[in-house]
Amino acid sequence: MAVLESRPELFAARLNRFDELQAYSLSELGDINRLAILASQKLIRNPSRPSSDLAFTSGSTAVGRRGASTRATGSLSFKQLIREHDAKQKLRSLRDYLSGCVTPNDPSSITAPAAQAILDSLISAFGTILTLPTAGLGHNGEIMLLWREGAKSLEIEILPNHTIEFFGYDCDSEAAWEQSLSAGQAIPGTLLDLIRPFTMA
Amino acid sequence: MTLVPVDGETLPGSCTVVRLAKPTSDGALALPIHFELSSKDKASELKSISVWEESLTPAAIARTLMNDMDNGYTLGLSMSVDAIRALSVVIEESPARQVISLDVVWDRDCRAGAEGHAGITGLHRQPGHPKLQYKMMRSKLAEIARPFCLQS
Repeated sequence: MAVLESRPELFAARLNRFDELQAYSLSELGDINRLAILASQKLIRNPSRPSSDLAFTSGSTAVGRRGASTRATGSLSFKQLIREHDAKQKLRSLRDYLSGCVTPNDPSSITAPAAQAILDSLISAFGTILTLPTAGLGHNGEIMLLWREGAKSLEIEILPNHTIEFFGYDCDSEAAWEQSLSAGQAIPGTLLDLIRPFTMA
Repeated sequence: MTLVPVDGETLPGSCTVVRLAKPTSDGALALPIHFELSSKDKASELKSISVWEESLTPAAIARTLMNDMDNGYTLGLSMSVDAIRALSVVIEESPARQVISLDVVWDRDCRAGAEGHAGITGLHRQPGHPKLQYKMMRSKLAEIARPFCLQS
């Protein structure tokens, strides 16, 4: 991989200095080269995985063990790391956005925390496979979480009257469904099944 | 073309109107929530969502007219009137099959610079009509809107 070949001193300096957690927090800095180095380091540090067994893709979207399933061997896919990194960044900016929506004595002081709670419920239901939505604020303080996947979309609208409306729509077939919950009510399994197409499962 | 707004009359199809909204968590994107009627819109006679014809009232002027230098309406959603009028949904469940479509009409605002004020009608849910079709309509509007950023 170009990064390792051109900057071996960086690789060497960091070898044995970071554990996976530190590597992850460094990856949050958004330095993709550093991420590549640390991802590789994690693989190389394990003596059962000699470096010759690593598949470095030049240009580079993947670091992993050649011919081995990423999950089965516990090795780290560079693609997977990037995805996790992006998801973590997006989650943080989503949370910041929702916090920033709150205006005291405004309906948004009800809807923004409720939107956070819904997001947390979905993250705990689906974990890291949940694709993170786009959030938007309406003129009445409503908050919408929106997922789009091709022609299909899913809207979760959090209203100031403590109602949460779910709306699924396929703009090609014009098929649509809707369901409502009260804020604080657990999301039923049937509804989670309708949300599942918007995950990476 | 010289536009002469007459309150309550329809805009020419060649016009472009802009809806002001707040940016999303992913920046300048059009979301269906941006096309929800505000409480003020619902209480008005026209029951329309507020838009501005761009040649008469550019988005930056519209923003000052909204007294919004603090509230963050820095997202413009541009739509052609013809494209808005082409949108429709069908309500099968009402006593008779009914097609709901949208229109854009002038909504007089006497303030200087506000000549371009208009409203998109057809988004206010009629009594007895299901919510679903109105949500579909908002989604369709979000699909045709071209988002752009205004300077904050």
